[in-house]
Amino acid sequence: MFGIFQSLPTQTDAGMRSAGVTHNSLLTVVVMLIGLAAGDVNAREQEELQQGTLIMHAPDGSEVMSLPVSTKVRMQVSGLINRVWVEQTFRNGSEFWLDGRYLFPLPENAAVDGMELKIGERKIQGQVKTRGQAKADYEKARAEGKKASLVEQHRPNKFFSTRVANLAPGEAVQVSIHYQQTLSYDNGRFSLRFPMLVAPRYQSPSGEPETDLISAYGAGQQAETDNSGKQGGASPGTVDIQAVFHGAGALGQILSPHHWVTVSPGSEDSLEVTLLDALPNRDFVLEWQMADPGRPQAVSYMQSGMSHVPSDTSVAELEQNTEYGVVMLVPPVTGNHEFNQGRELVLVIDVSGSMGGESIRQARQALERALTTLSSADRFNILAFSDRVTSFSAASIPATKNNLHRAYRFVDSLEADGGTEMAPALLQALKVTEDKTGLRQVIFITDGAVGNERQLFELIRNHLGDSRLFTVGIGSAPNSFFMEKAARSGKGTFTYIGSEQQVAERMTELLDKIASPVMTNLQLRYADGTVPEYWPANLPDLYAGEPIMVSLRQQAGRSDELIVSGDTGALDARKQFWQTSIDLGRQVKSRVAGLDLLWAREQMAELRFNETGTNHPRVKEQITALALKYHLISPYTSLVAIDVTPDKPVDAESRLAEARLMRPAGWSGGASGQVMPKTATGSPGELLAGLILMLTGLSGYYLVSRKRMLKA
Amino acid sequence: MKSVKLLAIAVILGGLALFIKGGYMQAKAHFAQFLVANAWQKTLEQGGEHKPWSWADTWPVARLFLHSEHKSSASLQHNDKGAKSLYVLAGAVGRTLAFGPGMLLSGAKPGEAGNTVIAGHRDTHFASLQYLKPGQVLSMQIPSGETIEYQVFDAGVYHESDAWLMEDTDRSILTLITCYPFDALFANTPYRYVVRASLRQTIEKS
Repeated sequence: MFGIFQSLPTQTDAGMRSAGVTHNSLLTVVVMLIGLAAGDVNAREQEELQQGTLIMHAPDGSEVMSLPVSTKVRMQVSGLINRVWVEQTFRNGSEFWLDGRYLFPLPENAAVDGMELKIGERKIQGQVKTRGQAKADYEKARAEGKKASLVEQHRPNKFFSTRVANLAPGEAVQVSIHYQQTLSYDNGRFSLRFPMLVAPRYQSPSGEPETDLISAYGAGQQAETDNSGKQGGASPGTVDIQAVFHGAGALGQILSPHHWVTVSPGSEDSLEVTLLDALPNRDFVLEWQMADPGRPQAVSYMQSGMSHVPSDTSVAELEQNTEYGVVMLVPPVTGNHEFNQGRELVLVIDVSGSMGGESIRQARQALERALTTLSSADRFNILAFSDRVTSFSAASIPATKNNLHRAYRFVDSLEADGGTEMAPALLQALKVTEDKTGLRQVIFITDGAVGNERQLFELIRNHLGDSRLFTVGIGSAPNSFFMEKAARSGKGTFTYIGSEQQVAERMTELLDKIASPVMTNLQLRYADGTVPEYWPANLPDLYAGEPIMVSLRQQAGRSDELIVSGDTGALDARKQFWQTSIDLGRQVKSRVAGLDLLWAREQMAELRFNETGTNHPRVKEQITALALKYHLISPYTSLVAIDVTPDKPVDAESRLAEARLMRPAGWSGGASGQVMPKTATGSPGELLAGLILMLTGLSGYYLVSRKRMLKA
Repeated sequence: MKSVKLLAIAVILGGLALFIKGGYMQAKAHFAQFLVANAWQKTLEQGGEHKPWSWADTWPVARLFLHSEHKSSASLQHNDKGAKSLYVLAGAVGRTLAFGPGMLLSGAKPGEAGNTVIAGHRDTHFASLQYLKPGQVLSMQIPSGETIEYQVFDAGVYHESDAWLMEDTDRSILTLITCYPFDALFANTPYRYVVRASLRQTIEKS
């Protein structure tokens, strides 16, 4: 994915306090911080926060971590998509007015697209606005004399965070968020997780004695009545979770490894899983498989209308007639990869000057890792390019022991030097040899330091044929955007390797995946021959261990059958046509599965993919329009917290603790693990050390000589 | 006695080697800029990419002026005596950075909407970054001959993993990155000193 999930949180410290001054508009714009990642979450909190938590600042400067009094969760599972609504209630158990932050640790691959806060009478809503609008709102607040600050942050979105201000003694705050998650799939097994762990220990920053939340947990009621503010609200609370599985007919048994649940048939083709008891300190986990995991299959899910109902009624009415759907293609689960025979692997490595130093070492390791996966029936070749191409062999040769041995030596001898001319290397890698059988896989290892990007994309599209291009980015600041696009043009994937430690893991992941393609040339059409509006427009290949989700949109009531087809057995030249049909007309249409959001996100990705220097303004406009319509965070829109309560005076001044250290040392980096370039040479140190050594040596030499002279 | 003498000589030679290595880094940093200057002149005259020496893997993409004090735009000319000028090379990898500050190829081109990211060594070219303060003006000459002005809005220390600083932005900004602390003797540090500036105006070719 690209950076669609970045947010521009808008923060004003005292929007609430200013209430009650002059205006009575329903929309007192501006308040708070909505951060999909919270710049002000420090490292320890990151480790310790394992469920939704309210962190409040006590008047003495210490912090109180408060667990929810009640948690209500509703999930809608459609294939790999899990749409989740969470509502958590917290209570201010102290006798003070408190300010704080709500933090929710998002599961992997999840993005928040909606939120609402209820604090007593006040109601604060997350609204998607263009960045310009968000900024204007902020300026307006400033002009009205409100204390405001705008924070621009791009952070890996591991945490959802929002500020909670002016929580009265004994008052409750109800936080609800919507997020959408892509579920994990491993070896035929789907799983979902909802965080319910309790942090083991929390040392308050002011050096107060440790507050042991586990014991506070056991003494739940007591803790709640304890007004010291130290453990306010640290009770287990009630937990109510319900998950609805759509298209349950295709699913096998649903298992809950940690908690007791009931599974009951819901409406039509769905199953409802309800949590019976909430054992403390265990995440809520569900696991399931396909009912018939032995063969490839296509499953579809439909939804009518949008997840976030547009405020504009005419748009809403139009949308009544639109349906969103997802087709999930699931690879079969086979113990041994029977097709893993006789593939052709072409490894291309960039040895231009820009790859010097650590980059070339990593690239060599990556190459060696790829060579180890070859079996004797496979064929391979290695191309090294700078301003000219050096090939290991004229054409691909069998991966015999002898040939591999020579290949390792070839790789060892590679040094980085010279310019970058990528086109000849790409051409040679994609050039089809005469005795061609099945799929050629090209792994392209580079830092992407090229100038003529557009020309290269074209070259890839024109010469791809039956080959597949997988790009591997190396170094501290590779040109990821180019490589992602190149891989997409080449029907492959992009892998980023940020450090030497990641080489083995990331390369193994990539090689395992591409070792077993299940289906190529995937196509989607209606029975009458027309093609639905679907994303991604260029369907990728289906690999073992990785289902594909295709997002589509159609007019409501369309009852045509959808036909999904592809070729199996791509690697061993025993190509077979595979086809299945899905009756969309008889599909159950769920209301709130979030399929429209996936559709919009995929379309944004497609727009970004086709973006060039000239159509940039148009693409920006299109992405902005999509984001506003579907209520999504994008590079051009933000989720902004807006107070929608009518104004009224607030009598008590609330205390806001000092903002704490923004950037903890040793922050573990973004999701990509990308770091900034290294920009120190150590030459001053070398000069100084050299000078000292020379002086030491000279004086030693002098002393020795003098002694000898004295002796003489 | 003889062995002590030999040891002394070895220490002298070792020291000399280190001194030369360190000096070579510094010399490369200073003298490369002259060769790059010629290539830049060619770029201005003929357009296109010109490598400073035939086996180079990089080429100048801009000329950056770090002004010594706050200047009004009228006085911002290339012959401004108070300005320190640096030729910016394509690509921000170790090999390029030894010769001059490098512009991230994945970032926006100067003047276009987006984030233009330039990294430079703290102990050679970008040592003077530490004196830049918010409000100060930077300017940059681009291949078309135009000069673009930026105004610093943020300067501070970040952790190396704060890669969001290099992400694309909506408006046109310039991000200068160098290692921190400035006066450290050796190379490894997880901290970066980052100066961010936003676009002010473009001045026509004079």
